[in-house]
Amino acid sequence: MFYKLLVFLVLLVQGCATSTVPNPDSVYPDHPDPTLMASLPFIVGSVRYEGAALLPRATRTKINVEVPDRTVFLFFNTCGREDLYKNPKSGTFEYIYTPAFEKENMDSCMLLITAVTATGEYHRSAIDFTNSTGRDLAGDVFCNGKWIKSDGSYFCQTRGRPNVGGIPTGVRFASQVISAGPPQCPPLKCLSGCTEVNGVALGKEFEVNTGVGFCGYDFMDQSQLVFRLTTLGYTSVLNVFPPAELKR
Amino acid sequence: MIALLLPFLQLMLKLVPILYQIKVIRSEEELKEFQRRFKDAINKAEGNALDSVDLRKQHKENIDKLREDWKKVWGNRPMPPPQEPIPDPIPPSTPSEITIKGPEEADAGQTFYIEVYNAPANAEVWRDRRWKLAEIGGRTKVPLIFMMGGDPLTIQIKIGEVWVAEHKMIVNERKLVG
Repeated sequence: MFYKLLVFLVLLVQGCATSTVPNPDSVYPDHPDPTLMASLPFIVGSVRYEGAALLPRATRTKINVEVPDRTVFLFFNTCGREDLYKNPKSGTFEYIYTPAFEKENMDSCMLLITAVTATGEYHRSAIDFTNSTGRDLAGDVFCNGKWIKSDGSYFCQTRGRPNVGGIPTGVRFASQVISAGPPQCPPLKCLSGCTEVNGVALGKEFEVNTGVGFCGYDFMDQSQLVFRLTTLGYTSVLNVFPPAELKR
Repeated sequence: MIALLLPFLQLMLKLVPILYQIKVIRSEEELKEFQRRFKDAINKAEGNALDSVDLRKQHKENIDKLREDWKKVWGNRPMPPPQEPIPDPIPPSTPSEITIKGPEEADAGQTFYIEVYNAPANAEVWRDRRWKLAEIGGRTKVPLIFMMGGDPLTIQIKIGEVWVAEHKMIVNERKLVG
């Protein structure tokens, strides 16, 4: 009787443990090396952002990051720094971002936050900053099914795809502009107001099939005002172990 | 019977976490898989760390190209006037004012500090400057200079070494709204 009970309890414990074991093979089955969506939540002021945000540039920005359970590394990276925190407490982590004058406090120096957990989960968020000086080129950006007016810059996160590009991101201006983008990213297509002067293409409305990872595009008008468009294309939203019911 | 089983159940409770651990990492292969996954996550994090540097380089190269292209397209033409007048920001010599209500527990005449978070980059904020509360629980005007509006600001007030109050507000272009 005693022995049977012992065997029963051991089997019970083994069974319970099995149900919580993640199956490594079921993670990323279709994307061996996916670019993950920026989805690590954080709060600035009273607004909660789900991984991606465009904020006005400030001398100090208080960011409350919602740290996942069992986080072992929490990175804060910009174009000029890496702040690393080991084993932060789960819950909210307060980070005060004070950009260095003339190094980080300028156009296009994003703040990237990354959390890595003990189980190998990877979470990240990306924050772009706009100067909002009122002297930038104004444009309308089409991002994830919405047209958004913006002055000087916009940051759009949507689904990307290698080579041919993913979901299109669009931008349009009141007058003709010239444009430039990096060679490693999908090219901009001119949709309206398209002409060419001395071998340089001009247009009023453009579209790009969003590439994978970060891509930066810039536009300049006749008054030399600039609009900066940054896209972040992801190929997977899966950044945690799949829930038990989805395991094979 | 229950008395006989009690020590055994206590032993089992101690064994549960051990058995759980044994089960979570069942084999060397599985351990290697977890190590690979953790290393993969670290690699991704480290790759992500340099994305900001790369992106800045992309935009800088774009701007250099646009300046060259601009000369080809518009370089020989006079610069057009701005399409619409741009309102001047608040001159730095005429500060806006913020009215801060003193905390109930503070004495009149007690000094306090202010700290401002999420202020625009071109805002001039006086830090480490002391202000006197007009009266207990009263209101004291503190001049601040903000050039532009933006997201809600958070102003925290410190008396001695203790943060005693927090105000959230929207800064419009020309005035502060508490």
